[in-house]
Amino acid sequence: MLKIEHLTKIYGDKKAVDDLSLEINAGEIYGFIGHNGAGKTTTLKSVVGILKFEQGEITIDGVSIKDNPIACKKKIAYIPDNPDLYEFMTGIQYLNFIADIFGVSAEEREKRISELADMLELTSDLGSSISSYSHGMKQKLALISAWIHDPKLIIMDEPFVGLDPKASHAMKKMMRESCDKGAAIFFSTHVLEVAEKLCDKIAIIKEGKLIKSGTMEEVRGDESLESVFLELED
Amino acid sequence: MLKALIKKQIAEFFAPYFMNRKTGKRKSHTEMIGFGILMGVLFLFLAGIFFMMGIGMTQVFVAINMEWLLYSIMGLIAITLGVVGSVFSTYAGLYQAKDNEMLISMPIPSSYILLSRLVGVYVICLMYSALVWIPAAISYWITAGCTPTNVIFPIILLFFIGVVDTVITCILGWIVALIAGKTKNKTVITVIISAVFLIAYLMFCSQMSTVMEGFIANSAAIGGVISRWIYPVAQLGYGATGDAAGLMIFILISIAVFAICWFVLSKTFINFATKKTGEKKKAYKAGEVRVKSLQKALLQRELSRFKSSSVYILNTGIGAIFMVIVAVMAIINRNDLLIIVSFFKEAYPFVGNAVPVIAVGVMCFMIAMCPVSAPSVSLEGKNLWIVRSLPVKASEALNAKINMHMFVITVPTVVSTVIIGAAINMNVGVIMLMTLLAVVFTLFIAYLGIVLNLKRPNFTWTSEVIPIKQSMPVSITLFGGWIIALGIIGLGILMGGALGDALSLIVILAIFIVIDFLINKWIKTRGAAIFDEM
Repeated sequence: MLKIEHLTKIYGDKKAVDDLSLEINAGEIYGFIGHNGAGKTTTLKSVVGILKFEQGEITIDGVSIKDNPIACKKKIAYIPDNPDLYEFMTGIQYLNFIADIFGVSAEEREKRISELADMLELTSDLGSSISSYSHGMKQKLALISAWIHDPKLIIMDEPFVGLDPKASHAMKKMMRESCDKGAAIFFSTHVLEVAEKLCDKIAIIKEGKLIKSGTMEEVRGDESLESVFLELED
Repeated sequence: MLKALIKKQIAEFFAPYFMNRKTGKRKSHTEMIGFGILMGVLFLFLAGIFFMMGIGMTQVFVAINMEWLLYSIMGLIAITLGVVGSVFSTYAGLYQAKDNEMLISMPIPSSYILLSRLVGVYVICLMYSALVWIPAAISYWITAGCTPTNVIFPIILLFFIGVVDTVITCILGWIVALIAGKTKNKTVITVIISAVFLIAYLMFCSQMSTVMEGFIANSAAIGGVISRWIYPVAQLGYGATGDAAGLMIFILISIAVFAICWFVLSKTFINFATKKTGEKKKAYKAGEVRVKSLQKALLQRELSRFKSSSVYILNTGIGAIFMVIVAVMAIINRNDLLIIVSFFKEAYPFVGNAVPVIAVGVMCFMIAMCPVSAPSVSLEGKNLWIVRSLPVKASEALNAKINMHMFVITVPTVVSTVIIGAAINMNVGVIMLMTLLAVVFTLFIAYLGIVLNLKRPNFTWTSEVIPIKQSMPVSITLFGGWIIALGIIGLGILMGGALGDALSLIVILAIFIVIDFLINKWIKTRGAAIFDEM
């Protein structure tokens, strides 16, 4: 589904991501952990096509993000760590905008908005302006907008930040269900307990370099993910 | 701490002019000098207008020993211009700055935050007032001669005119904030209030020459009225001519009104800055879906952005208001216009034959005052990630901004041009050509704004006033458009004699069609590539 090969991203004279390679298959929830400034966001933004990278290749279902970004983006949904949404729109206007971009039919979008908004308890706020939303509400709206077009690959940067426990639980359920249907999810997080319980595979990045990756069992062995992470970071 | 806040505010104000947003580094000396020269030329042009006014009045007032009246009248104009020039941004900059909540949450006295914001307002007011006051002072010095007091005092007074301006714009901004806090649709209210204010000011300006003649003819009576009823303005006049008492009185009055204003603002600032505008929850009803194509969705997004901001509407739609006013005045003064046209056709045929081009040139002047597209890339701001992560081509996103510009400006352009063409008795064919040229020029301004904003984007603004009012793309689109409008008029006069009016229009139309075609090609290729890198 997603293949990152020798990705290198340079800012000035600093390598934010250095020769990173990993592969995510359909049906996998892939966690991405690392310290602040390790290169997680840079990697995710490169996958989504927001950042250009100097070396390497990123392909989604065999299509290069460099050569055919539009075709790739049609399969992707992206949620950044701090979703700054259009404050001049209402929630429902924003969702309809995203659905229009992806060409989601009226019936499909109504069904998905209804289900997802109910699950995340945002239905009653969809008619209000986004400028009146709290951070958590914006996060929920961003989640609905990501799922509205049934993406094949979902990229999320610290998606659990700002979500209440019920919404977190709902999101985990959404993630699992999507992957069971054949989608793939690649997300970064600092909440290692969630990563341990949710992820099929994990990658640990340090100072731009991938230092460990594999299935949860391969990466953590008999220890906790936290112990492994702290050990590797030292 | 206060110094740091003021430094931040000034830096934010001037950053677009000195920093390269792409690299985060200072612009080259060449770029800064070039921009400085451009702004200098513009300043001189506008100051020249006020200088001519000042010279005319000074000669009369000096002769009748009422020199102070020059400064009183020009002082009133300076204050008015300062208020009009900054009132649209005061509300947004004072109460709606994006970092208000962050600063309020820090151990910073709210009075410091307020003072730093007021410094920003003061700087803008001072710039506009200086445009009037300095030429007035120069005209006085030339006519009446220089003494130490009549040179130093007006310079000192300029800074206190800025204080008075600041107070008045803050009061108006406070009123807007008060109304906006109680209304749901604050954008509409703000636009209406501002438009009414602007139209009133324009009506006064349109009668300026009549007013000036009245001032000169009735200077003694007017002087009496000002002395009696607008005491501070009279003292301003006296002080500027070298009267120490007048100087001190005006300074004290300025400080007093500022103190009152400060007292009121400091009590209400946090309330206004953190208040969520009284918006009731609007229930979402399922089934209200209207599916749109990608292009329409992008256009709708741009229009929603435009409609949501009174600052955006007023500052980039101001030319549309002028178009309507000019069209209405063309009908009202139709007979006078036709007399002027006949005069030129007889006395100066090369100008007479260029009347339609001159009329379109005037329209182009106003079209250039509608740089709707010029801040549109910067206004993506922190939302840029959305359109960059969606399956939207850069050219499609840019097209939507251009289409939005055309959607907003084309109708008033067409209607006004047709009315003006009819008012000056042009035949249908010439009116059509005039209208086509005006529309093609509108497209040119739309393209120009996009090109300049792609070259000089700013995504890190904390108040939308920065990209809308204080950005290089908007300034250059506006002033560059004016210069090109003058060029159109010049070209029309040059060609009118040889080619006649219709053919002149066709030639200029052809030139702009080619220019538009080339710029469009650039936007679709290089421009799209630049947007993709952002």
